[in-house]
Amino acid sequence: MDTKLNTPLLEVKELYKRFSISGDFLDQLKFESGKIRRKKEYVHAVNGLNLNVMQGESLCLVGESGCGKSTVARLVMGLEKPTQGSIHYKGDRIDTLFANKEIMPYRKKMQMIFQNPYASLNPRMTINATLMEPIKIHNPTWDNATVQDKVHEVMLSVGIDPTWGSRFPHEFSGGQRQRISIARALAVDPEFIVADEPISALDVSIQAQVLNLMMDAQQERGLTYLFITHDLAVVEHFGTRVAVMYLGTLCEVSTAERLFDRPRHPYTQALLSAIPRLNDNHSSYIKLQGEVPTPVNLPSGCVFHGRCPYANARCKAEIPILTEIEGTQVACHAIEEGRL
Amino acid sequence: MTQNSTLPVNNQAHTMSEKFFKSHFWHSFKIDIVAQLCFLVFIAYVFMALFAPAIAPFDPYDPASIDIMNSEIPPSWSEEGDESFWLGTDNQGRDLWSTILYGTRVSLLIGIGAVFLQAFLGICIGLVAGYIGGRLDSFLMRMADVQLSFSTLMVAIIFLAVFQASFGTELYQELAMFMLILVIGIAEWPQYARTVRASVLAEKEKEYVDAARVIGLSTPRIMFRHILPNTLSPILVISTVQVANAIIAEASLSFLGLGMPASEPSLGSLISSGFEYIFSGAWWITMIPGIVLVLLVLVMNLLGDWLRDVLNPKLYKG
Amino acid sequence: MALLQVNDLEVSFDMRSGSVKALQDINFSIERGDRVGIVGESGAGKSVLGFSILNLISRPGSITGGNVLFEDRDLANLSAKELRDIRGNRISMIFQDPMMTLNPVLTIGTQMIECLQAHRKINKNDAKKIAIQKLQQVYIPSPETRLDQYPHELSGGMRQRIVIAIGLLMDPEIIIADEPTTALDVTIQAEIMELILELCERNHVALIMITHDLGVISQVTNRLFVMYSGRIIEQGPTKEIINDAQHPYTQGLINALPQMTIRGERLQQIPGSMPSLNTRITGCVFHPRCEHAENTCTRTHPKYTTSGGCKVACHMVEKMKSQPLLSE
Repeated sequence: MDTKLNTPLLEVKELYKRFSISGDFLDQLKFESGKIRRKKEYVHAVNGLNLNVMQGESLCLVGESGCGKSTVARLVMGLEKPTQGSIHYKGDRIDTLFANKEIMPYRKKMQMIFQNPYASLNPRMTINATLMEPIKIHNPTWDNATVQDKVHEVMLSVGIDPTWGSRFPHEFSGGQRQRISIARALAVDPEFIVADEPISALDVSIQAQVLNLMMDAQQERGLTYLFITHDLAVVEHFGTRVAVMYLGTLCEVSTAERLFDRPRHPYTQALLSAIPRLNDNHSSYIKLQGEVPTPVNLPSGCVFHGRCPYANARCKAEIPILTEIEGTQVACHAIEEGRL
Repeated sequence: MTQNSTLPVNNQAHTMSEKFFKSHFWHSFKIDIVAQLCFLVFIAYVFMALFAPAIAPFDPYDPASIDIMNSEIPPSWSEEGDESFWLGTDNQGRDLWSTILYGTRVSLLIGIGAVFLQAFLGICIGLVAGYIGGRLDSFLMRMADVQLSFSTLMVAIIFLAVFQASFGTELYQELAMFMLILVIGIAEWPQYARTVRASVLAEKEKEYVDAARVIGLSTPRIMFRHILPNTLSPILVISTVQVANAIIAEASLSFLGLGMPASEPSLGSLISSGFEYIFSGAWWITMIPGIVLVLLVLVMNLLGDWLRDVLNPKLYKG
Repeated sequence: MALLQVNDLEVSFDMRSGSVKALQDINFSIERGDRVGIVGESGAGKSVLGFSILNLISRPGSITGGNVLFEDRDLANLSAKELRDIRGNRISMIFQDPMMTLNPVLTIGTQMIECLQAHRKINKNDAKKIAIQKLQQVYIPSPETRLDQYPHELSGGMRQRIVIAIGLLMDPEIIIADEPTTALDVTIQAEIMELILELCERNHVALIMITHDLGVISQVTNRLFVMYSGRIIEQGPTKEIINDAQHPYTQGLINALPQMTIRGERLQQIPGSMPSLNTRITGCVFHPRCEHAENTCTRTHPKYTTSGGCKVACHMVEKMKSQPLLSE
């Protein structure tokens, strides 16, 4: 049961990512109090994130829009370079790899499923061509028949009729496209899949189909998932462990059961109480004060202190560190001090 | 279990021709009379250009078939006309109809050749600038801005005049067509580069490009195999307009005496050669090739407009 | 007299391949203070229904049958001026994306005052007072300063509040909310939902809530319409439908929610996906995906049967009741 006995498959250490939003050199020049100054502004998307993903689990990374969860996915997959910190896969550092040759073995092991099934397939390529591409590039010695067999196999495994291979993406519904997108990820037999909001663009009845498909694939192939979502209802069902993210930092990491039974961090509590549930009479949710601060000017101390009902002077000054309390990792001064 | 859970998509046509006839493209062509007319006229021009040697009653490039005594004969429908010269003759005694046929051929060849060169340069530069971005993008786009701040004609005039002065008129006349393609081609690449870059920037944000990167495809493969095919519609649209522009540019240069030599006239040089005689009553030498040129350019622009409307995804979906 | 009555409404879209029915056999009425939810998947026609109530269907679509009566006046017979008087004044609409309603180049104040002056003869100062009062109603802090701000200066939740405030400006009788919280985060969604509910109850406004989210609808509405492929297949009190859905589609929709399944087990799924409107299905539109379907279902479209407080369009309702599925 306890996943801690395993070695971490993916380790993220002290990860930072900021994006410049000030544009060109000329745009950066600002006229202030009689002087021309160069002023650079950054969006701080990820701020000192530490995260381990264990072999065989589904780690759900949850947060509201703009909290940096998708940036984490892109950093892990090497689509962005981190500003600071490191990412390790089975102990090997992967964020510093540059040459295609060095990255290729990891591309085969780590794959990604995207949010928007309407944009994640190339509209000008047939399904066959889309699925053959990854297989060919990672198995250059295979002949055409073997590649075709593999395409056939992955299409069957995601429930798409292999005879439809000559069709183009626009001929499929959203759910079917997401299946094809999953097939593309599975085509190279990966160990680890990052799924960035894979079901949020789909209808309810289709969401269930895709989630089931992903769970089946996990059982059959022993996959590990990093599942990124804003939908807590899905997390409760799907996740082995859950990491709650707010403004680029983690506030709570715990097993899914424990998190839903007893959320510790005040933000997690507010988030859980806001899930609209059937039958449950409304207005029992915890109201947060104020607005989400922008990631351009991060608040000092705990990033949540402006909206937190339990914040005190220490929360405004000192950044809380993720520490283990009763089996849950929480970053909160109030809990640490026993105030909450 | 999951196999049963998929239903067949709509029964759609699957042969290429059936697909084409069901497409939005074919449908909008079918209901647009202007587009059909333009397309017909354009096809006629292409036909004329391709089969000029077969259609033309005389060979204007063959000095043996030209008699200076036949010069300035008006079109056959006027009083002094001659039955054997339908549209009359020019100042050198060449049959105007034959000369126009050959001239259209030259004009179209230069137009299309120049556009191919523009497209090749512009697409490569636009793709690289858009996809790789950063300083390279800034550098290439500033270069495009500089290039655009000179007018095409000015660049062409300077370049061609210098070439003519330094290598002599004879060599120039030999290489005229090649030089015109080169100059017009190089002068207008920024049009393509900008259009391609803009659509690359839009396409780059789409998830299928990320997916291709995650698969481990090389940068050139992503650029040419994944992004380029999705930027083809705007390229197609500007190509029609650019061919028209290149034909006009060539005509203007020829009119200024920097284009095709009188022995191998394009539409522009024909117009130019007749210009001196327009006040002596020989209006047809300038007017008829002029009408032919204007019609060609008009048709291409109308086709371009129509294509833009059809291929604009916003209009398409709304 | 019902506030809003929809009779046999049919909306078609003229496509190249022929005309396609986006809505069929829509019948319902709404009283003052009702809170009605319309739920369905994308393409079920729920947004088209919202637009057709305001007679806002534009080409190639058109209302091809039935009518919409607002206070017993047929909206189709009204002049453009009379229609304008109803839209935004008596019936207002809130969209999913606040930027669809807000003009990005005008300040919040200008937009609200303009809207007021278009419908009523009042001077600028009075209009401003009303605007501030409405902003207070939607709990916007320091409303006076907000009036001078542009939409982009505000957060998503704040923008949606302002859109709601604009919707309330004319004290409408009906608010149509088309996926008003889909673009928002859960914590903000909860706030906006509570706000809409409170405003409807306080001002005795009827609410038509269009959404795909059963959780949201179960908390806000008291009546529920379930739409599938352009038809209402089940309607009745929200609580009754959520607790004891009769139509196999509604059952499937509810059971597919992750919260209805034990952790780690497969979710219950409805096979297949909703057919696109131009595929013609004979009989019950849901039969290709229905596990209860029998011969009758493939032949005729079911009439409504009343079951408790609900009306259900399904041939198999009686049969399903007498012999529940073995798996359950």
